[in-house]
Amino acid sequence: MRLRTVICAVFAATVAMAAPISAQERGGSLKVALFPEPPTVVAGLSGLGSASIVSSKIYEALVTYDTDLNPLPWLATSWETSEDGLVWTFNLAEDAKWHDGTPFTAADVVTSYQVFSVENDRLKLISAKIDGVEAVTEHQVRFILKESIPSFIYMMNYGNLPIIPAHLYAAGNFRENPANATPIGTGAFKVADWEKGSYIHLVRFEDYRDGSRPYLDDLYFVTIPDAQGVAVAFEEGSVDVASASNLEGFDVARLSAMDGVERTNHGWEMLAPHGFMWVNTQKAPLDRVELRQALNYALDKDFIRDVVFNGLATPPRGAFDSRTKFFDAGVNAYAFDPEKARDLVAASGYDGAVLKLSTAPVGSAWARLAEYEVQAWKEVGINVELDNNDVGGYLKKLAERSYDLGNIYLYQYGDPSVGVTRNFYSFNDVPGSPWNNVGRYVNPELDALLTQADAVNDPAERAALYAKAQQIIADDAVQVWTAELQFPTLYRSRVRNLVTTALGLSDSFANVWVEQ
Amino acid sequence: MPIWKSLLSRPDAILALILLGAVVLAGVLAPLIFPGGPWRMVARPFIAPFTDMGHPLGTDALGRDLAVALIYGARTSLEIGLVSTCAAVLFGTAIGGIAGFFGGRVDSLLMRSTEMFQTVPSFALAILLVAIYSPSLLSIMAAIAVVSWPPVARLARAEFLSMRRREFVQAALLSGQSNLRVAWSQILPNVLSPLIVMAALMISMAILFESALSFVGLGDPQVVSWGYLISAGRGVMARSWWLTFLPGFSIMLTIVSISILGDAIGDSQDPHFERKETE
Amino acid sequence: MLKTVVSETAKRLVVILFVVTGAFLLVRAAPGDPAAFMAGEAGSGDPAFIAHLRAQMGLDRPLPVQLGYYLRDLAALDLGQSYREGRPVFDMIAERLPNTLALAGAAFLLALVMGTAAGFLAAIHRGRLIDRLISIGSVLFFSSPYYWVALMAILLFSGKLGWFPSHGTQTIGAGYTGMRALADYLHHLVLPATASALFSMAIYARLVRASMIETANALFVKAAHARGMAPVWIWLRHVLRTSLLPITTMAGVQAGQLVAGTILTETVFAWPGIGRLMYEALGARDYNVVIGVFLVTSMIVILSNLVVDLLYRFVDPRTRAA
Repeated sequence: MRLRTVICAVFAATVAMAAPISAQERGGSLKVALFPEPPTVVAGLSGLGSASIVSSKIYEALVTYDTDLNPLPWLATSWETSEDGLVWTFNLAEDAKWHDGTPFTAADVVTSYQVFSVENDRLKLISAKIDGVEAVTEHQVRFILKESIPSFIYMMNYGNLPIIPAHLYAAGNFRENPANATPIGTGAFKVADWEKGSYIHLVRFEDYRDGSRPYLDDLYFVTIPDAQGVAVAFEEGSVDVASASNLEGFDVARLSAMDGVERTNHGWEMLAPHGFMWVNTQKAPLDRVELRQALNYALDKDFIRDVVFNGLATPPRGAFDSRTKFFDAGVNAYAFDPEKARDLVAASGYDGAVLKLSTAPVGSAWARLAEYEVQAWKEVGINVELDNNDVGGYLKKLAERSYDLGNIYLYQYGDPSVGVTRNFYSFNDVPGSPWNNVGRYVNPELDALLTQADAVNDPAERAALYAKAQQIIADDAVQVWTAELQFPTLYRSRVRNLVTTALGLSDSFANVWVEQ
Repeated sequence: MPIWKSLLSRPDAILALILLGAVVLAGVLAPLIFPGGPWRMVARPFIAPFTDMGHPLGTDALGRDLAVALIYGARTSLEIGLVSTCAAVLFGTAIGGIAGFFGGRVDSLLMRSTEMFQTVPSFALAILLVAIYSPSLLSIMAAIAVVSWPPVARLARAEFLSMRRREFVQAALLSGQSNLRVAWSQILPNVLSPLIVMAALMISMAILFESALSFVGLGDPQVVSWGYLISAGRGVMARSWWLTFLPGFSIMLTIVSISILGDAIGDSQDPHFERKETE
Repeated sequence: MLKTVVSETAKRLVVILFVVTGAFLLVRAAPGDPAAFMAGEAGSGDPAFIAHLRAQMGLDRPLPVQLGYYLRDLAALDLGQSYREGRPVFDMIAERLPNTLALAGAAFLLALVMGTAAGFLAAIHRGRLIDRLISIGSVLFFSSPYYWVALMAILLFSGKLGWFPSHGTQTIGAGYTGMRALADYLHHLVLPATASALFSMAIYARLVRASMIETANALFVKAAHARGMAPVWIWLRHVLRTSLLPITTMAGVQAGQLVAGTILTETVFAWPGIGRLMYEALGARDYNVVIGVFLVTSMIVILSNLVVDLLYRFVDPRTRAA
């Protein structure tokens, strides 16, 4: 088998990571605002973003990605793929240790894959295409695929396949494993104490494989239950780092103007949070494409960006986020056009029936967005009422498909085949699940197109197929697109190397240091 | 009318009457004065109060007129306050009345259940109820009524109990009138005034309760309420404090008015009133 | 005597049983369940996975059976497991209860002491400026939503003046120990406790004032006057003491409600107590946590009523055992 080196990872990593570093200083402590408090910090046990922000310091994955979404080494030092794309070989760090002193080996990767190909939904979706994973040597592991998966390297990200210790999890039963009480990872930090409701305290892992790293002595994740609290805490200096995903847009502008505060928009390239609205496409009157188009035309996406999200958004052109690969800028988007919306409402035969817009209490910007939408649609003659739920009730509405319209934002995970196309396949409409094809959209032509696009290796060919798919999705107004969200990270200027990869705060922090 | 007389003899009561009258009037007339409703975006966001006479109290984060929102909020608060209090008073009086009138086993059974409801922390129960039956005017009113009837029942029971022993009640019963008739025509009119004073207090409590529920995100999303405005303003408090301050201030003024009037009415009903105040 | 204790205890146990059963049925009436929530939170939607979780949690059994198991565990003082955190509910409550008790206790004491003092002052200076000011103050505090007062306090004392911290129980990462840590905790407690206290404080002040004026008019005080006692002595010895009765009753009612009312204060000040725990657990449909907190708060109400009953006998010798 002829092997082709995809990337000489070690070299690339040195360049990518070393460039901004100058004379790192050891020592110091960093306090990061965190919301909501995660139920656990064991990798992969909770799907919450805040859980992975903490657990990614404790555990690691094979690879991470730079801000252009090129893969970088993490626990894997380099990797190769066969010409036909069916065999992926990863060389692993040889001196890595678990926090309990056990050496890290290829067996850990095998166990992790066995666990998460069941426990992780995204990995599970493609696991049928994976024949298996095997430890070649102590420090080399090989994935064998049945058919090519162009997005394979993105499936290896921390959110899908964090590496957990085989010596604790090999026996199976991941969720009830007693080992979950004490997180043991290979990461640069380990758990010191967790005062529930207040903070999670991590300390430097002294046996980390790189002697000089991590630079920080310890990390505090301070749990603060609301945006107002996070803003005050950042302002008065009781936290050093805050993500705009936990802040009001107004405060982001105000706080980043403070002295000694830096702001970066990087770190969300992998997730690319994309705001849209599920539309129950099989439920009258929303089964009428004209009405769905009217819903799209009636919204002023610039107003949403400027007023609702205080400038921290980009008007979307459709289902693909402009930050991801294969986004087609040429797709016909829905400009704000109330006149056209009114005509389409009339053409749809809509009789004025009241539609329900389901929302969850996930922040005041989302409440404002829903209130704006209801008003904007009223202007064009569509009657919509708010249906506020708590998170449990909201997920239930989506899962049962008993909603009409539902605001949400979803992550795109770097490659459309991971984060986007799953929302449109007709076979992904599984009632009982609040994810995937919640809109109940059925289009055999699109199914065929997406199946092909998700499997083709040649980037140019994929791009052409995805461009076609994007236009179909837009023309059919399968969803109502609202905003590509930006979540800048705010931090004190003395904090260095905070956000260097596409994972943002959900990366290792081994390179982070503070000026003393 | 002695009540009116005593009210009009107190300057604070007059002021309270005017304030409350204005709130009630605004609430009742809201849809007539502002037929567009409180949710319309009418100007640019974050206009400060008293800077643009078209929008005297300024605008909120979406450019909606705060004055209009406050007026519609008055409507919601009063509606919820009145309906839930009526429900609680009716139910509480019925339960307490039956217990006090019949005594014995019925009494102890009913009072045990009343105690049970008083044992449960009321705000926690209300949150549970509203969250479960999803927030709407109806579920909020019902939840407030459910947590506020027990004190009424206790008061009604005590009053019925003491009335039951009075000669005129005994006489009516002996003359062959039915229990219901005696309770309705002889006892109820005599226990009405303490119940009314209590109801005034309960309206204030209901308004506070509703605002607290809205504040934690359990308000009816279809209507504007003062609690909702406080919680919506909270996010931008550092930038525009008045968006949080003014709705809370409205609640305060309304409840101050109600309590002053309640006090004044209570005093005028109290036979010792004159002596106490003049001594 | 023993008989009374036994029957009183039995009565309260029945109340607790009803509260638990009620809460048990009520939370299960909420749409959705913890399995669906957890799957949703994990970004998973596989119905087979949800069914698997449900079976693990025992939620696939008939409701009466679930209730039976719950009550059986409860009899052994086991509040069950949190579905979401996979830990005993007892531990979760035990971690947070001290914070809630500190907050509610501080608010309670503050309200009682300051309220009584204000009422006392107003009563002995009846009709004068100080009485007017106290009356106005108490009407204002009585009429304000206290979460709103809390927000305004943050705006002023944390934002503008920077005197007090606005959230949490401690300065994170300061590494204080001993007295310094306690001082830090108290510093954080000032705003939340005061904000929670104002409402009850206003009630006590009004109550004490009214009750003292009434007592002062009573005959025995006039008699004491006639015997030539000094006025301050009369006020303290006779009037205040008799006026304690209604305050005790009110305090019993307030103590329990304060604990429940801390949900709001805890939310505003990010105070890690059981109120917030319950609210978050409710959203996640973490049934056992909700019921557990409900149970604990109800028990606090029952206990405080019990204390009031006892105090009653102490304060007012006329009250006989029921």
